[in-house]
Order: sequence, then structure tokens, then C-alpha cells
Amino acid sequence: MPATAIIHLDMDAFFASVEQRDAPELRGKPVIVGGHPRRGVVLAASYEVRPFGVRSAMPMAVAMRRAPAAIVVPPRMTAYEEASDAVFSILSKVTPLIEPLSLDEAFLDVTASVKLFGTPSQMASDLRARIAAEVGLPSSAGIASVKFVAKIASDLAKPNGQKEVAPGEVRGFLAPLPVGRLWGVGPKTDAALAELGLRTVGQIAAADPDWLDRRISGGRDLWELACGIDPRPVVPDGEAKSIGAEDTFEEDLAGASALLPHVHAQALRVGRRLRHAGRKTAVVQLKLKLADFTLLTRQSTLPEATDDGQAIYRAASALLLAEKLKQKVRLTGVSAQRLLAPGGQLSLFDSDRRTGRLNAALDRIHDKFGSAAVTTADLHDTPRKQRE
Amino acid sequence: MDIRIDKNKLLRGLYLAHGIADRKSTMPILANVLIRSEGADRISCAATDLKVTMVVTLPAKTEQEGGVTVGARQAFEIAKGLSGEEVHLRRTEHNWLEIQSGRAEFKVVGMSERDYPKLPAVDDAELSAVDPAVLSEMIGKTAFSISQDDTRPHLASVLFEADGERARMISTDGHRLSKFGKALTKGPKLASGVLIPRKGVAEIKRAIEGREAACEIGVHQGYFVLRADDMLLTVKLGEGQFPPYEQVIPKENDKIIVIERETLLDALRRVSIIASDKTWGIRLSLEKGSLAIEADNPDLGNAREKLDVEYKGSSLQIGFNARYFIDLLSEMASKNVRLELGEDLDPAVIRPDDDSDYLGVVMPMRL
Repeated sequence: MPATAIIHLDMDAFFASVEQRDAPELRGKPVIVGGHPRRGVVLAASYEVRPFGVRSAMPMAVAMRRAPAAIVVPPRMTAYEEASDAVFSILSKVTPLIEPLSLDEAFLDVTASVKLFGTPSQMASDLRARIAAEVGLPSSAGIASVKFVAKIASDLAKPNGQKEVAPGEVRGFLAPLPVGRLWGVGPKTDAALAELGLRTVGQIAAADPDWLDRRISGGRDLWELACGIDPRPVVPDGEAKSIGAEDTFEEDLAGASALLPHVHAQALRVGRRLRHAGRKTAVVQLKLKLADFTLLTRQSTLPEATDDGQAIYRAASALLLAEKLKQKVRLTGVSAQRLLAPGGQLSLFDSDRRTGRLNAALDRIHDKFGSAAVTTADLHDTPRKQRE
Repeated sequence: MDIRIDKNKLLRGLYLAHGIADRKSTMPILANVLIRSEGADRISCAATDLKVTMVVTLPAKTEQEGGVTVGARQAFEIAKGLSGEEVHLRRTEHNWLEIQSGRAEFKVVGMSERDYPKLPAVDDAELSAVDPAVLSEMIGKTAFSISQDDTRPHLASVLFEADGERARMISTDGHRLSKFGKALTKGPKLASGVLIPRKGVAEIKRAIEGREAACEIGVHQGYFVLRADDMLLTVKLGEGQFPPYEQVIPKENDKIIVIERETLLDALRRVSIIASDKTWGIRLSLEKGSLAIEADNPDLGNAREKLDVEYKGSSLQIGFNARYFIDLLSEMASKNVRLELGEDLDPAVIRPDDDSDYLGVVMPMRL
């Protein structure tokens, strides 16, 4: 049996790269994709802005202090989702064993693809070249026999590079890395390991596993990881478990009438994405983040699975209206929770069939002219970005 | 309020009321039953969820007039457990209800009757005495295809039509439709059909289940009214327009087979064991002389049963939700049924092969 070959493919500064691809004036410039300058967090930072110490998930306020000259771009989730779909469709050409970690990152088990597409390293560079040529975005790849080593390798290869760690080189590759690189080592475990005098992965690998297990919970697993032992297979997921849309508002909003248009827009987005994915949903969830950051989720089960944004909105708005909100709201989100393959059950009445045809027509218009081209009357005045 | 009442009478009132009381409502008082004196020798037990209202009037001895509301479920459970024959009900301060019987004594927290929603006034309603068995049969033969989708109130109801001689109920969930009509002599005369929502339909059925004596029904100011002895049930009519159902009943299906009802029902039940429990998808393969029922489930396996039928027309493969047929066939009583099919995307009609006015329309599934 050939040695397991895993590729970790990761897009470079994904959201920011999409923005730079679509707006030439942003190329070579420090770009931050993020929400509100005072309230949001950094969703992506281009490589030009990283030397200033800007990282994703950092509060926008901190990022703006560090890089006041950075160009801030609001996120366009639809564009990222489309780019992601294109990337995943390229990845699926070499193997069905793809485990997506997020929109912009995935593990591929290419063990069985070697005979068809050449060495894993060759496959990785072909995939990256195709992504660059067809989607216009930079990516990096790590190649190894175990998942987490492949992930570390792609991290080290960034930006726009790739690195292979051969099975015999794993321990040597891992040894000098700080312990924080291992999966499951957060600040707390990091401190506990430091107390034991263990600062590098190599030092953990050299320790006695029984001793380590007594000192630290999960110590044996850590030791195994440090030795490059990780039996976790690539789990092709393929099926998204939920599809959602949410927005943090520029200013907190009060009252159902202010919130409903946003919920409506989100429900329509969810409907579009369901149809795009060829799925229906029977469970609609409404998410509300209150001014004090309390998170509420409410869900309702539909009597019949649907991919119609208006039907999703009816359920979501009923959930919103049933809520007695005493606070302003920061964020609303609508998601489809239990995704089903659409059954072939036909409708007795023309009106239901008309809904299907109407949605198909609207989808074609949106795909061609963007989501601002046609919308419902209550959304006509909402900011364009939130409609997308 | 100070009342003495036979325990079994009180129990009956509370039993009927507690099924209607709405414990999930955002209005806590709707979980309560309203107990109120009605003159010197009667009391009423009432419950409502604002859509369906039940009022039961019971003989009692009133020592002091008045009323109170208490948790319907709790009151029912208490009454059920009492050992004495007579129950003494007394409102005390702050709307507490004292329930005393035998040696047992309860003091239950209540709420003021003044806060209880106003019950529909239907005293002037013109009611007609009808055979409850007919009403019950009409509900049984149509209730299963009422839509479960309360966001579409016009489908989450049964359409009730009556001209004084005949009555008819029709229901549809958008995928299937059932329609049943029967003579309802001296029944109500309605200018147009009315929509009775799903919960109301179930309550009407429950209220007349097993009853032999006539009951009175009518429609009055937006309510369907049912009176039977001591019991008055009002159901707020649904709003919206029932779809034009006659248009979706196919008239030109030319692939027609007559088949023994039990045989078809049993075969469908057997084969659908393998069908997906989400869609109940089965395939009917109709050929000269045979009807095969097939299920193919990638997770479980497949099943096939071939029935002999008298059929000489062209062959057809068509997919259906087996549940829809099972529901209909279970409600039919005739020995044989008539299955009328068109093309593979056309609705099917199934009806008893006798003179009863019953039919089901079932939309196929794409195979």
C-alpha cells in the first residue's frame, strides 16, 4: 500500500485577495476586509498590511491603530462564496476525499490519485496553478503523510508557496517548532508545558509519554502528535450542515420594524444559497445578538422543506415577532439548519409551481446582474452590501 | 363564588376544557379554565385558546355567585383524584380557589375572571340538528390531508360546504387533496364554503366522538358553532381563499384500473417499509395485466410486489408518496377502489368503486 499522501491547501489572505483581484487599484496595497471601523473584527488582511502586525480576527479598532493607512473594504460574502465554490470544484478534480475546514482551506487525501495525476507535490503545484489561472487567486499548500503536519507545512510555505514533508523527515521538521504549533495547545497548555521546561515540539517528542500524561491531561496525545503520529483520516464532508446569512449592523437597531428588512434580506440570501447548493431546509433558525452581546437563537420546524426565501422569511419573521426584545440588536442572522436533498414531490397548485419558476428566474437575473438588480420592495432602501 | 357540584359532573367539565386550554401561549391566563356560576343551579367551565372555545354548562348549587380562573390541567388532575361525591368550590381572597371534597382540601392560586378573554357570543346563532356520525365521517375522511403549515392558513383548514341537504369537506396540503360529500339533511345552509382550521376540526371530532343523539351545528359571525347537550364548542373560522379545488381534480385520466382495496393497501404498506421514511417514495409500474409497486432505498435495499390487474392500455412508470395512498385507502370502506392515472407528472385520482362521493387526488413525485 502506498504511503498516505495528504495535501493541505489554503488560500492566501482569501477575502483580501478576492478584493484585490476584483479591484485593481487595491493590488499591492495594504487591504483589510472587515466590518465597522470601531465595532467589527478583521476578517482578512492582505500580505501588504501584515508587516504592521494586523491579523485576522483582531478587533478593527486595534488594526486601525496599527495600520492607519490601510484600505478597509466591507466584506462581500457572495463573492467569497463564489470564489470558494470555484476553488473546491478544481480540488474535486483530483480526489473526492476532500475535507473542507472553511471557505478557503481543505485537506485532500490524494493517496489513490498518485497513479493518475503524478506525485503529491506535482498535484499540489498543478492545483495551485489552476486556481491562479482560473480563479485568479494565490494559494499555498503543505504536503505530508499526516494532516496536522500538512497544515503546518502550508503555513510555513505562505504566501504563494508549497512545502512537502517526506514521511522520514516529519520528526526533524517538527522538532524546532514551538509547542503552540501542535493541535490542541492553547495558551493554557502552552504555559503548563513551559513549566515542565518543554518549549519545542522536539522536547515533547523526547519526553517520556507516561510521565507527560501524568503531568498534563491529554499528554500522551500531545506526545504522539509531537512524534508525527496522527491517525485522523481526511473526512470528506461535502455536505454543508447548515447555510446561513448574518450581518452586524453599523448602529444597533431597535424594534421589529427596523430589524425585519434585514431578516428578510438574509432569508432571501439563504434561499438563493440553498437553491445554488441544490438543497432544501426544514428548520429555520433566527439568531439575534443583543446590544450587550447576549446571543439568542430561536428555531422553528417547517411543515415542508423549502428553498424559497420568502417561506424562510415567514418562519424567521414569526420567530422575531414572538421575541419580546428589551434591548437594541447588534446582529441578526438567518440560517437553514437541517438540509435535505429536494424530494421530487410535485405540487398540486399552480401557485406553488409559480414560486419555483419565479425563484429560478430571479436567480438567473442575480447571477447575471448582481443581487441589487431585483429585490423586494421592503429591501429597496437597505444598503446594497447587506442585500448581497 | 361559592358552589357545590357533583364530582363527576365537574370532572367532565374540566376534562373537556383542559384539552382546549393553551399552556404554550404567551398569555398565561389561557392555560386556565374559567369556572363561573350561571344563575342558582348551573355553572360553566370554559377554556379558550382564542381560536377554539369550549364552554360546558353543568348542574350545580350556587350559594354565592361569581367566578374564578385556575390552571386547567391542575384543576382537572385535582378533580380526578378526589374521593368524595360532592365538591365544594369557593373563591377566596386574591382569586384563590378552595377545592374541598371528602377530607381533602386544596387552595389553588388563580387569576381574576375579569382578566379572562371575552368568550364568543353565539347565543343568537341559528343552529341545525344533524347526525354527528355524518360530521365525524366527513372529518375522518378529509382531516389527514389538511396542511400542517400554519403560515398558509387557507390550507391549514378544511373547507366546509353545506346547502341544507348535502354537506362536503375538502382539504389539501398542496400535494394531495381529499374531498368527501354526504347527505346532511336539515343541515346548515351556507352561501359559500367556510374554512375550519385544523385544531378546530380535531376538537369537533373529539367532542362528538361516539355520540348517537343529534348535535346542533351552524355558522355565526365568523365562528363555526357546535352544541351538544351541555357542551358548546366555537371555532373561529380561518381566513383566506381555499384554492379552486375543482380545477385540480383531473377529468381525463385514461389509465384506469379497478383493484381490491385491501390488496393494494397491504402491498403498499409492505413495500413502503423499504421506502425512505422522509419521502415515502415508491414507484408504480403499470403494464398490461399488472401493477408493480416498487421501492428502492440506497440505505436499506429494495422491494417489489406485483399485483394482477385488468388493464390493456399503455404502460406507465410513476412515483408517489406511499403515505398519501395509505391514508386515503385506510379511510375508504368499499371492497374495490378505482385508480385513475394520466401521464407520469399528472395527478392521480383514487376513489371507492361504489356510489359514495369520495375521492383523493395525489400529485406524483419525480422519479
